[in-house]
Amino acid sequence: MTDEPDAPSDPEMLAAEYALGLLDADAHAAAEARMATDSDFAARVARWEAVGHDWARSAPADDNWSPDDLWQRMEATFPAGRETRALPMPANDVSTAHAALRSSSGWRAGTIAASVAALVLGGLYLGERGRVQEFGEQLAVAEAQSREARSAIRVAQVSQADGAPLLSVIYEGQDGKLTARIADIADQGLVPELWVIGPDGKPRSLGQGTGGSVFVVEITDQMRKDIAAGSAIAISLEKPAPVPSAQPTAERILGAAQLAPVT
Amino acid sequence: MLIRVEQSDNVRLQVENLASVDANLIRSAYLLGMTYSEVANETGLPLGTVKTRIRRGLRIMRERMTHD
Repeated sequence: MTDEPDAPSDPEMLAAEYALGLLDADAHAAAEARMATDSDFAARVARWEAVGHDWARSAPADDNWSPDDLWQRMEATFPAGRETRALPMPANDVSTAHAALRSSSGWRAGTIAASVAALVLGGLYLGERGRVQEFGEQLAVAEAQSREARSAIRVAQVSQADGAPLLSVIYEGQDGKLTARIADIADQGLVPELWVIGPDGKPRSLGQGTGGSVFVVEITDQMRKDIAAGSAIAISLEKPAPVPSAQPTAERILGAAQLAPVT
Repeated sequence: MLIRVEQSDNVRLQVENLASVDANLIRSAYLLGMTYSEVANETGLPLGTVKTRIRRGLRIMRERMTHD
């Protein structure tokens, strides 16, 4: 298969790629510049943006909250090139857990890598071999893999009074990775601390972080079981400490939300 | 003649299914904010191959939009 050029000569294709966010930085910037001088191109972009908006609207509205909808909105809250921060882990978790810096695309792309790969590889195989009669089976497998991967993903969001996200969390059950973003909190000497509240109702600290940070934590086996059984995530403000608190300070709990599976 | 009709329907169905896979790939990339390079990195496929696949889907979508 021959390589495709960096940018298509067909303005319709370029408009689609720009509107749907497929272009990499340089090509995106070039298309953006063209938007300002080429009204026909701008109109094509608008049509494709409408297609994208229809896809986004396929998720339920806020008053019919769903993890799928939240997943998409959370995507938008994790900007490219963000700074990430390691989250200190509780002392009793050190042997089994660690915090790691991650790239902006790691979590979002990694979680769906299996499903995307299945779709791409399945389609390529069939398209290039012409064995389209097997397509139905390939598609079924790909869709099953996609459903399985997505069912292992849980999300939660705690909002501030003005509706802006205070805490956004994505948990990937397949590898026990929890990615959290905490809004920039005016802390008055206190630091945000995250908690997993398991089916037994007991809060277990994920550790302390700082406002305005994004970090990834690989959590313990016990917490994985708790989350699989149904858990909530909570955030409180605590005094900085080398070892996470045993309990959240009740009057400084900022909010909590159920870690809900993405279906 | 009947066999030929059935074959024709089968081919049409297969083409529609193939287009569906491309559309799903494009939709997934869009909703998850993935660029061509990110899809290529995550799938391990050559960038040119990814572009070919997605552009094929976009062309089919354009044709459908034109006919609608």
